[in-house]
Amino acid sequence: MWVSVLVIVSLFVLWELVVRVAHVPQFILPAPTDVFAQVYIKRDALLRNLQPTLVATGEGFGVGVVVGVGLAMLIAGVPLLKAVVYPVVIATQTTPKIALAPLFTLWFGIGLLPKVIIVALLVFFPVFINTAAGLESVSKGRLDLMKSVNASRWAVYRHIRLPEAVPYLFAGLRLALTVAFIGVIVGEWIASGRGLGYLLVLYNSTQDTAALFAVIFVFVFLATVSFYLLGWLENRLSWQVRIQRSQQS
Amino acid sequence: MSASQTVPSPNGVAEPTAEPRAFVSCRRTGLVYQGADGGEVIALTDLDLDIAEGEFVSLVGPSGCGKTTLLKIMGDLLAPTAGSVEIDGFSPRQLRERQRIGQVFQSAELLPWKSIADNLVLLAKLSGKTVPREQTEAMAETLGLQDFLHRYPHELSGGMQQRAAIGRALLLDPALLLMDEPFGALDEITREKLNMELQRIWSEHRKTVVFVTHSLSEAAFLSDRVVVLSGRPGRLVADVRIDAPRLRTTEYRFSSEMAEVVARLHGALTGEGEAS
Ligand SMILES: Nc1ncnc2c1ncn2[C@@H]1O[C@H](COP(=O)(O)OP(=O)(O)OP(=O)(O)O)[C@@H](O)[C@H]1O
Ligand SMILES: [Mg+2]
Repeated sequence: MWVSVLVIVSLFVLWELVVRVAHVPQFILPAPTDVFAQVYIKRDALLRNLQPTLVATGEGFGVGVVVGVGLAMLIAGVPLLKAVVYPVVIATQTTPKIALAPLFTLWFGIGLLPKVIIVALLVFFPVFINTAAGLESVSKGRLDLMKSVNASRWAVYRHIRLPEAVPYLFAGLRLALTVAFIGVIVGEWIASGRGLGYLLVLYNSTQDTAALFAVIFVFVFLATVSFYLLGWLENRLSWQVRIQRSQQS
Repeated sequence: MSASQTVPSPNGVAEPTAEPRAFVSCRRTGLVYQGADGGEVIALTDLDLDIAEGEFVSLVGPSGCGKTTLLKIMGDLLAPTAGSVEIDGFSPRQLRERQRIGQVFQSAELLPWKSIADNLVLLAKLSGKTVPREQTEAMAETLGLQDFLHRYPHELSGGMQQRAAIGRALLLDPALLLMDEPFGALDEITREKLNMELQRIWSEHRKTVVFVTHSLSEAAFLSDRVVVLSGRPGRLVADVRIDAPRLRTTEYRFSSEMAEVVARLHGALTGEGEAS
């Protein structure tokens, strides 16, 4: 933790020095102090536009996770469905969703919905694939053990498959978080008059580079906080983290 | 003479010294694995074996001779492709469905997300038994795990994990306990210690045990009978009875009496000596 803070601070100092010493014009690369000043100056606009971005990311992430986990659980429980679900999933993943964004505007208009759909579509895949893999990664020995007491499919599911899938799920969630932020920015570029992504477009068009960086800083901060939240959740819920922790200390 | 031996008669049927009634009886049992490439592996052929109730029988034989296969057939994890197996008047399938078979594998297969206490009772619970906490605690006590009930598997040594796996099987109160190299991954001293404990636990519960091992001294120390299988495909080549009184002590382990049994088993395994 302290090392990361130190690294970040040193990077900022280096950046500041380069900009100041080389006299880089502000519209090319503003110094971090200028950017932080902009964060303060534009705080109203930033806060106002932060809210829709958070909502779209949150809802899209939620929908993507629920559908991804749900579908993975479904095909693990009813293997017959696998032949139905996989081709559809592959199809949705091979279509370039970012390129579909303009189409979503056409269909769903401008506003929250197209953003949520883009994020959900992006989030769904890593969650689905990882959870499905986790639910299937059951050792023969454990299955034999359950079979030896004639355990029901449900018991195997509940006591073996689900817990086995938890670490996989978190790996999927981490990937999903990254693409969720990409998805929401793209959605706001194309299909929105609000949000941090929209602000990026706005400040870019006015060549207000320092303000542009201010938006990026807010984004990075947001993504970092979400990652820590996810890590915190994993610490509480994943048995694998518990094992790793005890082996480190 | 503490050990007597029977050799398969020419028709391949082993006749162990007259048993009252067989608890487990394998008749011309065989299994052929269907390989993925269409090839077949004959793992076991024409095996005849009777085991009495409460008997502790070890299976020894070269690697790949079908010991695990035979155990899996008895536990209904595999169906024989020839012959039959009957246990206490039931087929293995019926016995498994009645949840009366305990399994212990070479790897403990504890669930890393459950505490030792939860691991101990899981199978018993799944088979519809209620296990009072005192019973779990008593079992843990027997296994020397009383201080680890609330720990997780990764916090236990390999030997302790294996003891938990044995406890888990015993809490099922099985009619037949199948153990496949349960101490195979342990060092010699730990193994000897666990042999002692297993003997003590077995003599308390008197389960019928079929025990697979590569250690002849382990087999000789623990068993009422040691069945020697030959390699590929597995056939019964010797059936050695060990009459040394229980509970056997460390002294017995290093006695000339046991050394003689081990030598006999060794002879049967290598195809030298009386069994060949
Ligand atoms: N699933 C399988 N598919 C095909 N062949 C198999 C399979 N399992 C085992 N075999 C083959 O069957 C034979 C007997 O295997 P088995 O595992 O019963 O031997 P084993 O006596 O337990 O050996 P070990 O002492 O090494 O554990 C071996 O030749 C093995 O290659
Ligand atoms: Mg084996």
